[in-house]
This record gives sequence, C-alpha cells and structure tokens, in this order.
Amino acid sequence: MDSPNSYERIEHTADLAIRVWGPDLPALFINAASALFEMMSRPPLEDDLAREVVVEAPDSEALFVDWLNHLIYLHEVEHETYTRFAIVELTIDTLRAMVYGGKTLQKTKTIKAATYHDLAFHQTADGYETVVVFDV
Amino acid sequence: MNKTDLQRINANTYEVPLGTREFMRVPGRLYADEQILESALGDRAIEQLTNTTALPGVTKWALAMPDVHQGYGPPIGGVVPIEEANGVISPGATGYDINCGVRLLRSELEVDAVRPFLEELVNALFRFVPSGVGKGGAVRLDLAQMDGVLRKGAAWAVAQDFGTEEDTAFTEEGGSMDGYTPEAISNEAKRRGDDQLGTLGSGNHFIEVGEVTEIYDAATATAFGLFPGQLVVWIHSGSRGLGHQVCTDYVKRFQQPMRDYGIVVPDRELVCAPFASPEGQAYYAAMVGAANYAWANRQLLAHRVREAVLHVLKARIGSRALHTVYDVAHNIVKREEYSVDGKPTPLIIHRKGATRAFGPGNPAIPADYRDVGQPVLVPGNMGTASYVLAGTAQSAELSFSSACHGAGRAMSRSAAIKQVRGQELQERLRKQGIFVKGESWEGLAEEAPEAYKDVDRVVKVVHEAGIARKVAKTVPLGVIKG
Repeated sequence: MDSPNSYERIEHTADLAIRVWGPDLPALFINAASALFEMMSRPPLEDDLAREVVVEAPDSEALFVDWLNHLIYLHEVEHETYTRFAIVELTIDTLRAMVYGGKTLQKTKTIKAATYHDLAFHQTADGYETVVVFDV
Repeated sequence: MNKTDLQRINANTYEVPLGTREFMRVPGRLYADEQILESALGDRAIEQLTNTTALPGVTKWALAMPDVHQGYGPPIGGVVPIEEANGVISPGATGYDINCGVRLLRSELEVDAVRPFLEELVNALFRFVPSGVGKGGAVRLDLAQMDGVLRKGAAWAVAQDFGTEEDTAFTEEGGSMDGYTPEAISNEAKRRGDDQLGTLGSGNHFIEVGEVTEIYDAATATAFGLFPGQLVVWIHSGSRGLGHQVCTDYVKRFQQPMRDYGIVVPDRELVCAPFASPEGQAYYAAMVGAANYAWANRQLLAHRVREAVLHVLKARIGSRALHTVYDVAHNIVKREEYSVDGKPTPLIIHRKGATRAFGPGNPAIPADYRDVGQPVLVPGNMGTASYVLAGTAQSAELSFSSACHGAGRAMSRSAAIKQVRGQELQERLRKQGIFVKGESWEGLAEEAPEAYKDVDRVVKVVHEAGIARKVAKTVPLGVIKG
C-alpha cells in the first residue's frame, strides 16, 4: 500500500468523499486507487496476481474517474483486491497501468461507483489534488 | 447558498428564484418547513438543486422533497421535469442504483399473536435473504435468463414461480417497463448483475418487520389492506451491480456527446444528452432494463421473505400469504404527461430519491386503489417509524406527482460511526423491542436512527404541502441490514 497520508475522508451527508493528492498525476491516480481498495476490502493474503488495465476517456479527469470505476468493476466481477499499481502510460486521453493483488479475502464496503461530482484536478505547491465522491 | 437566497412561498414551500445563478432556466422549489430548510442549508443540497435547474428542457421548477440532502449531481430527494420534445435525459440525475425502491408486504396476522417469534423471524430472514457486501445470490443468470429479466422484470420472476400475478398487479408499472433493447446494456453490466439477482445489497438497503400502529385515513387504509396491529414487511433494494454499471457506462459515454451537442452543465455528474438523440434513446433503453432487473430483484426478495416467514410461523400463518401492498421506484426516469402552460405535454421526469405519487383516478394505479390514490411508501429508519401515504390530485400541479422517499440522512456516515457503536446500537434497539441484525457493526452504525432526519416531520411537510397524504404509520420490530 502507498502511504496512508495520500488521502483523507471528507464529510458527505450520504456518500463517501475523499481528498486525494500526489506529487504528479500518475501518483494521484495510484493514491486514489489505493484509497479505494483500503475502503472496499481487507488486503488479500497473496499479491501474486497481475492485470493490465487500459482506459480511454475524453480528458484526464474523466480518465481518472474511469480508472477508478474500472477497478470497482474488476473488484466486483473478478473478486480481486489490488494493493500495488504501476502507471505504464498516461496521456491526456489514455491510461495504461498494471495492477497487482490477489483474490479478495474480505469485503468491507460496497462502493457502487466513482462519480464526476465536483471533479477537478488542482495544482498545489506539492503536486496535484482532487476530491472524489463515491456512491455507496 | 444561504437562507437569504431563498424565497418563502408559504409555510412548507421555498424557492430559489430564477436568476440566483446565471445558468438557471427555472426556479428551484423545495418543500420544507423552517427546520428542514436549515438542515438542507447545512450541506450542499440546495446548491445541487439549483444546478439541476440548468438542464435543457427543464420546465416550471426543479424540485426537492423534504427528505432532501446532499448527493452527487442532483440532491437526494430531487425531481427534475424535462420536456420530452426539446429536453435532455441525464443518467447522473437518475443515479447509480437505478430503480432503487421499496416494496411493502402485508400479512393477515396481528403482531401480538407472533411476538414471541420475532427474534427467530429476524434470524430466519438473515439466513434466507442473501444480503451483505459482495455476496452473490441463489439465482445465477445465463444470458437468456438475463435477457428475460431485463425485458420482463418482476413478471420474469413470477413466471419462475417466485411470486404470483397479484404481486405484479400491485407493483408500479406492473413490475416491468417497455423499451429495453439488448444492445443498450453492456456485457460488463450484465456480468456485474449475473450473480446478484435476489440479493439485498448493503448501504441503506434493508428488510424490516413492522407493526401498523396508527391509521390516519381508515377508508384508504382498508383499500390498501392495512389495519392496526398488523404485521407487515418492508423491503428496500435496487438494481445491484447491474444498475450501477449501466449508470457508470452512460455517465462516461455521454461526456463527449454532451460537448458535441453544445450543452453546458454546472456539474459534470449532470451529464446529459437530448432525449430524442441516439445517445438519449440508448440510455433510456438501458435504464428500462436496469429498472426491470430491480423489480425482478425485489420480487425474488419478497419470495425469500415469504419463505422465511413460513419457516418460522407456519403453524400460525398456515397457507395465508403475505400480499404485496405496493412496490415503488424512487430512482428512475419516467415518461409522464402533465399540463404545461395549459397544454398536455410529454415530460421526462427524473426522480432521484423521490417517489411517484399519482392521485385518485389515474389509470396507472391498480383498480383496487384507483379511488384513493397510489400508495407512497416512506421508510423512516430502523429505530422510529415508517409511513404509508397516498398520492393526491393536486400533486400533479404541485410536484409533478412526486413525494418524499424516506426520512433523508441528516448525518454523514463517518460522523455516525464516530458517534455510534454498532454493538451498542443493537443492544439499545433490543431494549426497545427491535431486533436488528447486520452484516457488519460499522454498516449498522452508519444507519443508526440518529443519522436520519425526523421522519414524522418530513411526512408532516409532505401532508401539509398536499403532495401526498398520511394513511398509516408502522414501527419497526426487526430489521436486517446488508
């Protein structure tokens, strides 16, 4: 897992919202994915499983949401939990990544989807940050 | 947004006037008393209501019901009426749990006759109903079966002997809408739903055994088959992973076309496309399929509930069935006709956490209820009460025949977890005579009664505003949470 200091939960009346940050865009994508799996599932016993993930979208913020939604999809249908992420390629409209993990041991929360609500990347002195609201 | 931005129309109605934000096409209207208004101003619900007034084709007002609270895109408790001819359809304004909804089952039993068996009944419900995080169901669908579910909804489940035609007769839309086309729903969505039919899901989904404690309108209660002291069962669930994926797919698919159509919205989650466009029609067809899946799901859940009740109470209930009072959708898009500027106008009604509330005489209501209005099912929370309301004639004019869908959250999940421990909550409710069983302590704490608004107050506003009227109140005796 990445540093737990790469995201924080923020108040939302009904759903689940986090603020996530990273020194650059690939780190932002990775930290958000780590946060997602920390919320959804306990770590798997093994992490010898590897999968390639390719996502295309009209802009990098849409790419970010689609990346998270694709991971939610894989978690639900493949019953897999990922703990390590490597960004192979990140352009304005394409993300290619490797995700590593194992079969899900225990789910802790069902997340229906990552939403586009309030979605905007902000450049900070330390890199990038964004807020993402998940429907639970 | 603060209180001075709102205009008070009467004791239960406030508006965000046109012009408060540049993008507004119509005013935003909120049914609330002063306390509910204060609560709604405490999060971003009113700002989100205002955002929905920007959707092309929106007519008269965008609305919020008194159970309103912050969502993503529209507020929860939002209703957006849009003209079909020149307006849009928005997957984000419908939400991820397409046709999340409520079914109410009524027994012929008085609670007093079975009170010693209630804890056993809750345990049986927990065993018979697959509920929690990530659990599959007993019914695994192949592609042909999935197609049947998406086309026929609850009728598919009834054809498999998971219920009777009486169930579909007392379900909104008869438990299935027309218009699904197989290519509209992705293989990913179908795969996400293929082992979840007949499962409750987590979050705020539940099954509750309750007792009718108050009758406010005897004639309507009698028409709905309700009487004081009666044992009833509430079921709250939706379209599970299939619906979530349909929404995810279309929120993504609409991003580029929206730009191509030159539509600008204040929040990307309100992404939309003209209803008449190929994209709009594809989403509508997919939404119909997901809605049908949800009705099949609640039909299967009702079947499991009946099995559990029979298992525990067979000696007392004999062959007497649990009848469906009604089954409502509260996250859905509907094509309905209303008078706009004196002319009958086809509208696309987006209800996100709001319940259809047709008044007496509407041909869409089952014949047995047509004189009294459509049942509006309003679950409260696991510690206080729930309500059965009936739609009114004036709701067409006041709220595009819509009313609230619950109590509405007042506290975030993380705040609830900080304030409430699941074990203590279970013990506290047990002392009140309510047996609660959940998949996780944290999940239970998130849904604690104190996390919700006062349902009595919410329903009072609905009743006094005239958008639905009180018929009966039930209190919880046992609850299972996913």
